[in-house]
Amino acid sequence: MKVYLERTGKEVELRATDGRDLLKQLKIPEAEAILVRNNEVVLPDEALRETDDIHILSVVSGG
Amino acid sequence: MECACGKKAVYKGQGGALCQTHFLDSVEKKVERTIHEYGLIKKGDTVCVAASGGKDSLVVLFLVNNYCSSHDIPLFALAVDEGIEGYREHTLTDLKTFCEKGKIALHVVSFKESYGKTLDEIHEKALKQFNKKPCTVCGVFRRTSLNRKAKELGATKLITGHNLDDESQSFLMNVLLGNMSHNASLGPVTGLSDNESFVPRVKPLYFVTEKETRLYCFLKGFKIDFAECPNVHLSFRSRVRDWLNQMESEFPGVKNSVVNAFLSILPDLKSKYKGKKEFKTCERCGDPCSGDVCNACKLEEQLS
Ligand code: SF4
Ligand SMILES: [Zn+2]
Ligand SMILES: [Zn+2]
Repeated sequence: MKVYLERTGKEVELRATDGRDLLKQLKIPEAEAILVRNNEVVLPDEALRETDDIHILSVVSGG
Repeated sequence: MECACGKKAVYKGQGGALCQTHFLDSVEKKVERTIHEYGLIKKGDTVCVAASGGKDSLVVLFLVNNYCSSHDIPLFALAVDEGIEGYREHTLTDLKTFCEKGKIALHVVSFKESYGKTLDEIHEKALKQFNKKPCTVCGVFRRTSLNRKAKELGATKLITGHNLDDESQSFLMNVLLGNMSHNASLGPVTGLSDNESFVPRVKPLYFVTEKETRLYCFLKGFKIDFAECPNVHLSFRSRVRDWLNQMESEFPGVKNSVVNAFLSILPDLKSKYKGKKEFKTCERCGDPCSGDVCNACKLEEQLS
């Protein structure tokens, strides 16, 4: 799946079973991220599909 | 995962899973409760919202503007332009658009105007000659600029977008750095309420987490251009923040516990440290301060 990271502006290609797994692989604490698929929020325990495009919104403020 | 109403959840917090409608509702209720419980805004106030265009400031501006409109309380927004290239201009553009849409009066005060230099211009000298991190200078100048301008524009309350994350960080930072007395001036209402030179600062997002404000913006379709200040990594705060977020992810609720622990000792902190400090008036600008010259004026002189 394609994963777009708001904080760094980067895009990565990954395999993950669910949101929690994805965040773990990216080493992003759950408290710092919101997952979005097709403009809808995905909770960490929701299953992800290989064909998904996921946006990770950054929760931390900029300063 | 589903909300109690049966719809798909967009958020899972300590109170359980919530759908979009019930999540938005929960944030709005929490803010309204905080305003009432701590008497943050009252009839007769003129409200100034300190806004940067970042997510917290848009949420607080939106909710407080709704509150003030329905209670017939005058409000305006005030932004500080520190002069940080590649960062502030983005958030200020978002803020201007937001205020135009919501028909909110917006004032901007810049470091350049007030101190003759942008933060970018001060930054190097401050670090090299005085070992002062940009955030230290930025914080002192921002606080002073906001207070002076808000007062000049007739505000009786200064609303800030400080959230639960900010507060838990500040408390822990003061503990870790051995500045326990500084904690006496945290809380939902700050500023020296008995000193009329300071406009009292209040925090309606006190019990709202950063994650909640980000989600609120997303669900409401508020446009925020994610931008990070280039100096943020130099701050002690960012270290504490990262650590707290790691902990929160493993042990949900720790940030809340930190703030509740703080609130439970706040009255004691206040009685212990209040009155210890005697306030004089700054020789240069007339603001209250503990010495002869206030921090902002001292910094201004060093960096000029
Ligand atoms: S991160 Fe530091 S320098 Fe940047 S805006 Fe915040 S306080 Fe100012
Ligand atoms: Zn619901
Ligand atoms: Zn002064």
